[in-house]
Amino acid sequence: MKLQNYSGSEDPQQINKYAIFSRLMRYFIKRLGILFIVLIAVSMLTFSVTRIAGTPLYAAIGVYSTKEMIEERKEQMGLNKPLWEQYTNYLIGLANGNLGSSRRTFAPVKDEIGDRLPATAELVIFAVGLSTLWAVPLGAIAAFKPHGWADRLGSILSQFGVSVPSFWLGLIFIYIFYYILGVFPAPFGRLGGADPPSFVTGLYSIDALINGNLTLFLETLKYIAMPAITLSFTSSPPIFSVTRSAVSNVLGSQFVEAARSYGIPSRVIIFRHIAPNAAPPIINIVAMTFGYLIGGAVLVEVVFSWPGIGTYAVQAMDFSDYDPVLGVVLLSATIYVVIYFLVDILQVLLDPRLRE
Amino acid sequence: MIKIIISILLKNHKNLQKMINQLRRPPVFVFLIMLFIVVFGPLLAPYDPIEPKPMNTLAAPSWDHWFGTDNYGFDILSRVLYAAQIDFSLALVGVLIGGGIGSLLGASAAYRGGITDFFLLRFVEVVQSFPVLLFALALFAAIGGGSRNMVLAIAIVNIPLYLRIIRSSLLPLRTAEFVDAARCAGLNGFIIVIKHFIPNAKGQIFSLFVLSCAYAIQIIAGLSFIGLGVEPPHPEWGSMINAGAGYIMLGVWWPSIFPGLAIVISVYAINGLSRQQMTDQIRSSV
Repeated sequence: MKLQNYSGSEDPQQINKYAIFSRLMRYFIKRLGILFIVLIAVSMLTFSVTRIAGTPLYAAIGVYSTKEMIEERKEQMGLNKPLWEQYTNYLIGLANGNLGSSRRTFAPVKDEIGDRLPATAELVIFAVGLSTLWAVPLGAIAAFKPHGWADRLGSILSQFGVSVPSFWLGLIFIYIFYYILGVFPAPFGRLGGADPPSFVTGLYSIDALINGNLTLFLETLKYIAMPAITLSFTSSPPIFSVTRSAVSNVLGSQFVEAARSYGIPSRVIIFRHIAPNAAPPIINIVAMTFGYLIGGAVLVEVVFSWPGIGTYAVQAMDFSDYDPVLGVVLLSATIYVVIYFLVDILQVLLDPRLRE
Repeated sequence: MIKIIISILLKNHKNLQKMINQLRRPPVFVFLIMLFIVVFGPLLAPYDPIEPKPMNTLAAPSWDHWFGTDNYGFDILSRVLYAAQIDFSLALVGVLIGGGIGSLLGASAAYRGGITDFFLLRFVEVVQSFPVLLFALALFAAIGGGSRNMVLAIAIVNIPLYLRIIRSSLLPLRTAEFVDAARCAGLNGFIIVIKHFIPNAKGQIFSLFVLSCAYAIQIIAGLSFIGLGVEPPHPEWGSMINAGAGYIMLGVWWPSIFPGLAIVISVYAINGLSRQQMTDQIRSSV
């Protein structure tokens, strides 16, 4: 009682709020600083690759250049400047979206990636959505009944998903569902040879819906089904196991026991007490899977000739065309790091206990 | 299980019964068969793996060629058997290098704390922010592909895994009494890390080692699948799958399916071994 009087006229609750807010801000700034450091390090890595591979000069000059021409070219491209100055120029270029240009098509890498990113995004959205749809409920049921059917099915599926290489699984799907059963179309990209819907979001299925073209929508679903299922198989095991352990942690906690002993109906306990408490780690793993797959879907994209950024990088690699490769690497690493950062912040906002 | 094998080798026959009990477990059994194939695969192979038979391409599995032949007329069974050795040895070397460096760095991070810890953790974040395959692509863009650089890529990818886990498992030791005692005795940091920190993480290092071998096999296969790892005609599971990939739409399934099965079985066996070991640890600690 005396302590409260000591704090004067201000409400102690209020002070507490300020403290929490300032702590949150400090955390936010610290995470932002770390994000910045990691991004700098990532860009340094790709920068050093460009210098080791000797891309800038090699790409610019022909075979029959004289020494003077090479020197002149070097001066022009700023390759005689000190390394740190080259690096700052590289960073400034990156900030303006300059990722270099392809040696094969002479188009800016930024535009080419821009064309292909929606394809990857669509594939990954479908794959992660599919994984979430089956792995989260299965994981939750498995947590309620350990060693029950859901637990067994989930662990068999995730053991399978961990052991099987995604590209091989894709080939098997092609053999079964295209060659034998003929359910799905041949694995030639997003729509085979058909005309894509007019551009709105770049995601063909959404665009087709917006255009009101239902047959085209179904067609896009047919094309995306096999790669999305393949990716979902190999990316869902972490989602299943995290869900299972998150839910079973909450199930073992005292407040659930207390709620049960009050006689609160189990439906209410599940949705009011368990779901919100188990959600943060699950949201975390789903978001991380999404971030990872943007660059991690390379093999599946290659198998299904999916015109995404992964196929783009691999094709460029075949021609020793390094700017596109590094552009894709930089982009996917950046997306992953930024999602990681956002998820961390979201985690603190969602879970009041972490603010302490 | 390793302990038991060592004691058998030391002629400690008390453990023979334990060994036989181990063999009854499916993951251990499958793993030992895999090991046998890795060691003796080339002797079991019926044909030369890189001897093309132009008259007999894409032959379906038969008594002469159990797994069929591929588009160059190579015998697939022989190639799968030979490839086991290549895949396993590449994975093992990469993981040993990466795991060694990673455990050392992780233990140092746990011991030193402060700025060392901070920068090592940032290093982990940087490397892990790249998808593995794209990281390898960037590396290969700089220094070229081939199996030697693939080992390097696997080593680099493994460093952060070990660093993070060994660090977090050894973190409580920083304030342990025996570490203080060692410091008082005048040992320098490096020796404390090697002699007093790392032995405490033996269990973690081993189970991580098993898991990362499985992971490495998948990476090797993936890289060779996109034509960047082991160069054909050297037998490798990933590049064999790639060679058969174009024919699968025509219904020719054997060139791709069998090498893939080999990957699945070996990764499953290795993972099963690590699961078995974990349950053993839990059981023995209870």
